[in-house]
Amino acid sequence: MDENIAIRISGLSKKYSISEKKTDLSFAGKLKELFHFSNHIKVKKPDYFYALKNINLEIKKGESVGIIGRNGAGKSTLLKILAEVAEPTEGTIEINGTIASVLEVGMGFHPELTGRENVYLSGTMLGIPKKKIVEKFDEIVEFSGVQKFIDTPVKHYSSGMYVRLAFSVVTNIDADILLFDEVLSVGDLAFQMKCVEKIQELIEQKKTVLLVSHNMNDIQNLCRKVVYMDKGSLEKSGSINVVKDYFEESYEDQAINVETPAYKESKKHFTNIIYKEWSSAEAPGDDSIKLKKFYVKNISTPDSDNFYTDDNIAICFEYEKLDNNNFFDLGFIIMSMNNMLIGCHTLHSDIDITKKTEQGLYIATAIFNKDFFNETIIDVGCSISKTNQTLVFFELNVLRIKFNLRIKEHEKEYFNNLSKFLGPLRPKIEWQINKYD
Amino acid sequence: MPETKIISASISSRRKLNLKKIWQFRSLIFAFAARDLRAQYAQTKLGIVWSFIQAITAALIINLFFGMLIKIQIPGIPYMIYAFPGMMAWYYFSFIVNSAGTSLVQSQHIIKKVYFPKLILPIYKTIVGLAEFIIWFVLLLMLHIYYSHPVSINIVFFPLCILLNIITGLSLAIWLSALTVRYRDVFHIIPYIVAFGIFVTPVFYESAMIPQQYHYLMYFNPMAGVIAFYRWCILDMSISINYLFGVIPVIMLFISGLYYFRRVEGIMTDVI
Repeated sequence: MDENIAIRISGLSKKYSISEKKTDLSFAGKLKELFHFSNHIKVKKPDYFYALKNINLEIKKGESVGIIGRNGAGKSTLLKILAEVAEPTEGTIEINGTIASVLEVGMGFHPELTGRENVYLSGTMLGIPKKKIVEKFDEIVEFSGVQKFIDTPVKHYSSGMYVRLAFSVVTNIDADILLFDEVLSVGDLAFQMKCVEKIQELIEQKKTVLLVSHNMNDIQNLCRKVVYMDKGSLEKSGSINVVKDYFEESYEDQAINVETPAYKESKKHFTNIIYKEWSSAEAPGDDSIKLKKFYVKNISTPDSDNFYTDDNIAICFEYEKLDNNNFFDLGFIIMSMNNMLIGCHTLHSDIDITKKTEQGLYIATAIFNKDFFNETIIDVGCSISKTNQTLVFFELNVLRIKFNLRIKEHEKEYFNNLSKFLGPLRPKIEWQINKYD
Repeated sequence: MPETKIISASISSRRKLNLKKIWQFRSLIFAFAARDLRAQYAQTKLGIVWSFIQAITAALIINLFFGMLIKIQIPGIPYMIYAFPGMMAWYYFSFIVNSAGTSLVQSQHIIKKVYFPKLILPIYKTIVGLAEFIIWFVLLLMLHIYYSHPVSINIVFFPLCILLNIITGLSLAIWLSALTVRYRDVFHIIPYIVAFGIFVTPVFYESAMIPQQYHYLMYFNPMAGVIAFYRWCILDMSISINYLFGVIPVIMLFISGLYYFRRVEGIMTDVI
């Protein structure tokens, strides 16, 4: 095998059998089934599904590879097979070098044992000779920051300490290849940042790193190469930008696949508005206010299908006031694709509603001026509340909007050389250079 | 430059027993055993004294029932001295069958998350049991001093006794542990094997008390042989060559168990 290759996967498949659920759950039924006495009971029909389908992948030494994809795409199964926790159904994998994996942080820690004892135990479980653990022990403990409690049983640890110590063991034992499955989503923010730093350090030390994450930002920060998986197949691999677009596109496809009837309706009537309308029976609200429609409108180019980062857009609420009271409020909440809160706002905080409270139909419009969102996908939810803060209605992810980037003539050269800016926001920033003496 | 490791789905790689791997991971056996023992006595005030208390209580109860109430007489040997090696061997055997048999299901959280040869789990339980076995042995010596009954010179074969005891227990435990992964029902069967087994094995009574025409059945019970060997070893009691028949089921169970275990190991993380 080529010396520069760390992992070569060829024709890898993993098949799981799902047995059909039996209908007769009574004790007698189970007994009969056990001895196959009865014909009435369905004989288990073996049903299969492929968690991985014919995966071919080569990972070079020192490469940092991010594996992305939706839930159930087979990312974790792939790591499990690489870590030899699960066995493949077909295909072969060649591995050059020692592997350490964090499939779950803190695996194998025994609550009754002290931190010190657990470090040795989990090191041994990872196949590290005792001499090496002794050598690395101080380093491990120092990184974890639990020096003071190293001789305390881990059952007394806070979950943060537990995670820190476990992560520390795996990353400090000098393995050639490291597998991480969603580790960056555990622990507090400070520790997450420390983990990212540590992984960066490992990458700099020319370790081979495989990272499964749902968080594109982590992948973007850490990985040179990205593999996009879908339904057990390797759909695309390559540089970050290539795969990122692919990921977002297919994410959008999925959104259309699961669209509600109202969503479909929205395509019929308003091609450029992502739109939600409630029937009068379903309309959220109470006997004072009913929300009828909730949608996003492109103000800059009303006949356009697409939203660009330099379009003015509006989030609109169409509602009916049923009485003359004014104790209501409307709000929206914007989430990023990976379920991070970007922001929220309410009507009441901006407008004195008391002036417009008599019965009738209204449209409330929240306008976003251009150059606010970056090239991204956002999910918009809406709420109706009383002014005394009790919620009448609240739903996340009612609308989904994708913003495209229109690269301006003068920026073209710049973006050809560099990656686009990251993050969900792209506000107009005023730069200045002043001479400083 | 470490050699290239190949993970393959080919049939031939699945049929390999991979016993070499167990040798590579041998330190894990002791690490697991040490973990269990430490965890067992952590936070108990009396610690290891509990094991002594358990052994002494068991011995006293047996002596009371069989020695004093039922009055089983062994010519030339105090009943306690006669019964103790049998109890010791059976206790160790039942510990292995019980804890090693359920070891895979109990460690499922580790099995799913980290790689190691799974056969280590039933094996390390024998080491855990050995710790308590040593306590029984110390007690045995104390009994011999108390009754001033000499220990036979055959005691030099004692390690061989232990080894046979372990292999007999493991031959059953490997099968049971693999079976519990696929059929949890086995979990409930294990206590019965241990509970009934003690009555068909000459632990409390003498083998001579079994009618002559059924002796051939006893010879196929490997634990009967192991216990007879212990008694030969400690008390220099005669041992029939026929006990060698007990080796047949042990070897058959042991080797078939290894292969069955290996087969289950391949799907273990998927079904456990």
